[in-house]
Amino acid sequence: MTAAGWLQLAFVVLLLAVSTPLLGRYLAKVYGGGTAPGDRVFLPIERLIYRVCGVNPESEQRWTTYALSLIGFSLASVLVLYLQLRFQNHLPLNPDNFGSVRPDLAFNTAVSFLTNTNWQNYSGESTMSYFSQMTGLAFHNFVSAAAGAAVAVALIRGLTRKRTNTLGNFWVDLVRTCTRVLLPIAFVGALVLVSQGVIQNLHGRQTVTTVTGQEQVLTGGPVASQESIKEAGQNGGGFYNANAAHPFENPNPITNVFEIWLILAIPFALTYAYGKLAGDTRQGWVLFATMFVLWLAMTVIVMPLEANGNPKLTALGANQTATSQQAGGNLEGKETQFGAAGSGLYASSTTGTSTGSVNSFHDSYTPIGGAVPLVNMMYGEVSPGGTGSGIYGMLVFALLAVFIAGLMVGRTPEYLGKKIQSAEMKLVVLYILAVPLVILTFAAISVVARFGTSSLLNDGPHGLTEMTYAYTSMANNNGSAFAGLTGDTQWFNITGAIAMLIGRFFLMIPVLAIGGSLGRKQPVPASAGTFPTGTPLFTGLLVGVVVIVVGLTFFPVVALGPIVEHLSGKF
Amino acid sequence: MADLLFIAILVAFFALAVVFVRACERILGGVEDEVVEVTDTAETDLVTS
Repeated sequence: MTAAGWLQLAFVVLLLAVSTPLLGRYLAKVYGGGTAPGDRVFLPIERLIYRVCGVNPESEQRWTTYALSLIGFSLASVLVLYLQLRFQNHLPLNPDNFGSVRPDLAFNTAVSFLTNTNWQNYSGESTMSYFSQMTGLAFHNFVSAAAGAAVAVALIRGLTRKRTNTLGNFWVDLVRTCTRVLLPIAFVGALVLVSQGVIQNLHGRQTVTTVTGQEQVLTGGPVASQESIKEAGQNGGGFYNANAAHPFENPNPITNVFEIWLILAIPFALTYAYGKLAGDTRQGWVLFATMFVLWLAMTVIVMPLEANGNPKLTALGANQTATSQQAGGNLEGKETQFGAAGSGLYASSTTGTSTGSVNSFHDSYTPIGGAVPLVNMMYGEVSPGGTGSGIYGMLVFALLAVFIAGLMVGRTPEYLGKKIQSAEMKLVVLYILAVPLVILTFAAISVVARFGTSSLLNDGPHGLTEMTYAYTSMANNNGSAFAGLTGDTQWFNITGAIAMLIGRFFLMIPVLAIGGSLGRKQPVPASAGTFPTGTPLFTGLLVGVVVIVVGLTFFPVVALGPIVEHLSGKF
Repeated sequence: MADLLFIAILVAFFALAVVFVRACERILGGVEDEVVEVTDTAETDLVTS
């Protein structure tokens, strides 16, 4: 791998090292309940929103009310988005006169943006009006990330409060996340992107003549504002079909590194905020270290694999070395200005989080290189995951880890002094089983039924990987496409939407229930039998639990897909 | 017609989500109003049983 590749990785790590405590401290104040920076600016806006919506910000909710608020809000907002997409041809800001979105595609898209997945079975530049992009889709880019953060904060309150029936107020957490976290970051992020050449306008299509005399149609649009929240909220839905490989979305290596940092910043910072809210920053650093180890391990696998090129082409005598004349590496499906290493770094980050934006096409990676984004998603989006969903996923794994540790020493497990009992473990099991069940069931049906296989561009192990990747991406609310699968069919639109809904809400509800259950408990003092959870040993145990649980669940399908493809040498 | 079908699917899913909330409540024992005091003596469940 080139020095430039390593330098990009080092730069991202450096940015994270700086931003995690700074942003984490700010997040802890936003969710901590006391005064927070920016109160003078944000409080009047928030009070206006509460008054208009009839919300009493002082009232706290039990976990069931919190969950029902989440469900009610989600149902209302997804119905509005569905109808907006169906009637976009009658709505303003449609300079290219795009028609109504087809029912099954509108259903898939509405669910996709509701669930923070942003799986796209359409090309944004030829399907969505600017009104749909700027109001319907962008609204969900904010609130879907905020809903994830709200659920995470509710769980953290359950873990850190003593003998309480309430977990906060869903509406307050939703609004504060939008006004104080996502909007400021998205605004500043958009300015940075515009300064680097990302476009921001309301122009329709323009036909231009290129330097070679050819005619080319250029699509304008409010790209920078969409791009920044797309990355900062781990949404991932591209303004253009080519997503972050398009030069209007991601024009140079500086924006590439900046967008990778935007993807990773909030999920990592939430671990620090968790430590502050728990009153023990070591607890937060343990989660940070676990997420970081998983992300870094996968990143340093995929970057050199892609940078070293395709061994089959090397065997045929192709020169894949990076020189001043060529980017080098396995460049099929990659943008030359980012190079193979910059593409691998982006791929690992976008799939370790629940973002799903792409700056290269994962289908064209080497088999093991392509397995990295797949396995990243199979972790359940915890390395470091989405806004909120990453940390609540990792906390569920932490509960499982202390349970296993408790089994080893024969005592009832504890986490932050709260006894973990059979009810919480049943909810943890529900959480862990829901997504694999959806992925493996839908993928299994789709690889044997004609309505599934007819969408595949490849057969054999690569075709299996393409199918597994699609459902893994949708059920884990990632949204990245492996490519090689025609997803805009009734089967994939409908089953994909169901996978996304289950992968979102059937995980959030047990998480809130766990928070509600733990919140009611009185913490017990640590004793000689308490397994310490703020240590490097627990980090190791947590990494091991994540890898083993995912390995036991998904190893057969990974073996039959990318591993068989690698061993067979047919790629 | 297709619109009605997809809207019905969405409503049905979220109705199922409400049922799932109730199911999780039952797993927890449905004692929402009580705060639970767990002491060291409560180590009889799960692991040691």
